[in-house]
Amino acid sequence: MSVAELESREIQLEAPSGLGSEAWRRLRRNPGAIIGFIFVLAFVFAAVFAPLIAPYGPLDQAKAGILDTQSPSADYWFGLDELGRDEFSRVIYGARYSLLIGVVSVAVGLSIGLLLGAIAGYVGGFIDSLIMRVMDIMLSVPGLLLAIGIVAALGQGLWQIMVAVGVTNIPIFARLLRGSVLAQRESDFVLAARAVGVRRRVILASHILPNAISPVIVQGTLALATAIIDVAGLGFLGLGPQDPATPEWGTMLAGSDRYLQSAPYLAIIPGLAIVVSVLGFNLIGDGLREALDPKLRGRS
Amino acid sequence: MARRLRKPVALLAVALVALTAASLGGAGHQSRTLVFGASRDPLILDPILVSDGESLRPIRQIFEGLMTVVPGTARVGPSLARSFKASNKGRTYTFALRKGVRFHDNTQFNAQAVCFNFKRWYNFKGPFQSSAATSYWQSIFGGFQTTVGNTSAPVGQQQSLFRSCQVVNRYTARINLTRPSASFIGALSLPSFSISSPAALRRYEADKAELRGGSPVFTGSYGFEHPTGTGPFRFESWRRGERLTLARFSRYWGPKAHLSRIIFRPITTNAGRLQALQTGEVQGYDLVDPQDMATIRSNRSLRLLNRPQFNVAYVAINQQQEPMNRLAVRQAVAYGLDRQAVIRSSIYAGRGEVAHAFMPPSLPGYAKNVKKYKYDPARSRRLLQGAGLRLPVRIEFWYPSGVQRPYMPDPPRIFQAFAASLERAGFDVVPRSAPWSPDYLNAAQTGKAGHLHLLGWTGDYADADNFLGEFFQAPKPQWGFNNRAIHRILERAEAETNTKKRTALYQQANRQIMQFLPGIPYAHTKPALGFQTRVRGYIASPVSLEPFRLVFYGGGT
Repeated sequence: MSVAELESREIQLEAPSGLGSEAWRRLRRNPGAIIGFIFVLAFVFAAVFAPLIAPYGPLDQAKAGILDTQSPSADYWFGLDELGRDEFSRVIYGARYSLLIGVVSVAVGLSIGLLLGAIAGYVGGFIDSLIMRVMDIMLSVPGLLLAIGIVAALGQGLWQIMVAVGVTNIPIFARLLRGSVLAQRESDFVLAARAVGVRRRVILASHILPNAISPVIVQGTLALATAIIDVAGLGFLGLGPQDPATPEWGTMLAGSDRYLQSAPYLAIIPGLAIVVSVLGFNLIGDGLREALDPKLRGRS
Repeated sequence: MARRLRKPVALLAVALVALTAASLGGAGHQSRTLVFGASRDPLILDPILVSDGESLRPIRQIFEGLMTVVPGTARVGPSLARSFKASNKGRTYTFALRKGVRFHDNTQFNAQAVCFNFKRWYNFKGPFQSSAATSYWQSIFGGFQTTVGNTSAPVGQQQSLFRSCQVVNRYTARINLTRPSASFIGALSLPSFSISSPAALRRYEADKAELRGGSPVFTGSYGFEHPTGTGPFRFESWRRGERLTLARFSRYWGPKAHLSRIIFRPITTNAGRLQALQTGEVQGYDLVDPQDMATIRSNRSLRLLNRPQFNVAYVAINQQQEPMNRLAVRQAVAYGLDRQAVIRSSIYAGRGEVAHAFMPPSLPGYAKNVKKYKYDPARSRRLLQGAGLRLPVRIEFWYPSGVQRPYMPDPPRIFQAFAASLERAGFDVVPRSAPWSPDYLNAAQTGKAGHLHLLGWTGDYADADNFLGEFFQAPKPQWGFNNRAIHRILERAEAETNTKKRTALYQQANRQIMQFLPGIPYAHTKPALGFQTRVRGYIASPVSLEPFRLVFYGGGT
């Protein structure tokens, strides 16, 4: 590394604006991330344009009066489910639930977690220990178990699932952000800002957070994948949306056990949908982690 | 070294051979135990307090009543009573009791024990008067001696059918009724009216209970740890959610059981029960999913046992919920349910037929010429609009979760199919579900289960009163209507002792009911049990209550 490079690296450290394009360049060169992007794009596309893609409604019987399974064919790509509904259309519509619940629950977890983590990390002292001990307690209960408990307490329904999965995400984000805030708090530019009398709130918002945020972005992407799994898991355990006809992937998967021997595709297809979307987010998350890693920064 | 080893090795070899022999010859000797796959744990083993199949199954083995259902039929035969005589125009019944019968706690069965039990039931107070606690007593006998502090007794409850019980002599008991009843003897065959040991009832505080959140909670240990009857099997142990073990009662008055032990294991899913049967974890199970019947039939070491059709599945309508009190809306529901498609679907897999009445066609009193409602969504919409309602009409539709019943193999799917067909017929269906027991049953029985809910009934004995009378003889919160004509005709039919007149009355009642549409029956099914082929002597019963006393292991595997 030449002296000039070293200098530029230091400059970059203090100039978060340069981070985006640099990371993006490295991300594009990661084949895993590209595959992840393709999966996630397909997933988001399916969710947004479901009514245009799906040949049938998620609740429509493809053939009137016939409530029975039918193997995949040219007419029905993924076959018909046990009530004569087009499985392809249902899987496409199912993307909406997974995406919606995933994004909302991660947003819930992220926003509350960030707030708590930033306060704990920057204020420190008693408040730090208080927040962190509460987070520890929440972390000591396995995520899905906590979510089950919350859904059981709130009752079944879409927003209850979002809240449940969101709450399980709070401690993860809070801990993560607290750690990186602590690391940044003692850095030179923060000390400098403090020395010239910048107010604490401003330091936190405009100097510490932008530099502490990159692990959170990575974690957020990975949390989306976990959220999709958790939502499907809740659906599989019968704690999904109230209406059993909802084409939520986990619910569809849970309902297929009666037909495992006669129509195995009813289990395979929603299962694959879950795998593809989760894998997509995981690949992107891993790619982002590498792209945003400060140790790798500056290397070509 | 080698010398010293030889002896242990030889011993080990002998032991291994012995073990292998034992496991191979197991069928004949050590395994006189039958493990039976139940779909759930029983609720409690105090007969009078339950009405669900999974509780009644072990109760049928531990306890006996005055009368019983002859195995394999729905006919009523003698049990603890050898015979009975009706007098006083059907208001008095004198029972000649069996002698030399002992309870499992070694106390004697006699007329005093009979009257002790009847008086206990009649004098129930507080939580025991909840319809969730004593639903059979309330539907057969109506009321209690006093109804103090009672919150959920049936609406419009009449005076109790039971008047008194007299000990005539040691082995003769007399029961006096307040009015004649033709179905009284049949009702006594219900396992709910089994006779418990008075000493055990007292010692283990069978009458202790409290109300929690409106549901009765029993705090005595009788029904959980010390159920004591006269049956061929006695209670041994019960680890909740794991296993309920009954052991052969060696002092049983009749032919003793072949099995030395029965273990009931709750396995909640159909797939799990099938798997347990395939691996030999259980030797038999009830409620075979219509989907799995081919699998069992094609396996030579397994066997399917059919039950005669003796049930009805229905969509109940609660008329307390607007606008269900209007006939046109109920008709719209009837025309809006695609029952044919549901019966033909993979849910029933050829094991059901469309029901047109609230009782099975095999019973006297069934009427063929009732009004029938074929699926016609356009007509439903016209009816709703004709009633001045704006489409779609929003209705709450309840279905139970985590349960399969003989008449209802897959409630969520039945619900989905019906909801879809109702939505085409101008309704907007709001789905609601609750765990079967106690939430769903409580909600249904207390009239809190929305506009529509799924339910059904398996008959207990061959009498139309056990179906129509059970549903509609008195106003019930479940249906939320008061139709004097229907209640009255069922009361008359119950009291009528002339068989021909009685049959005609029930036929008339069937026609009136299908005009009035308190609900819509949709299926009669032929349920089945799965067994290992070597299990013999299990006589499938239309009333779903089989005596395990007759079961034995045959040769071969």
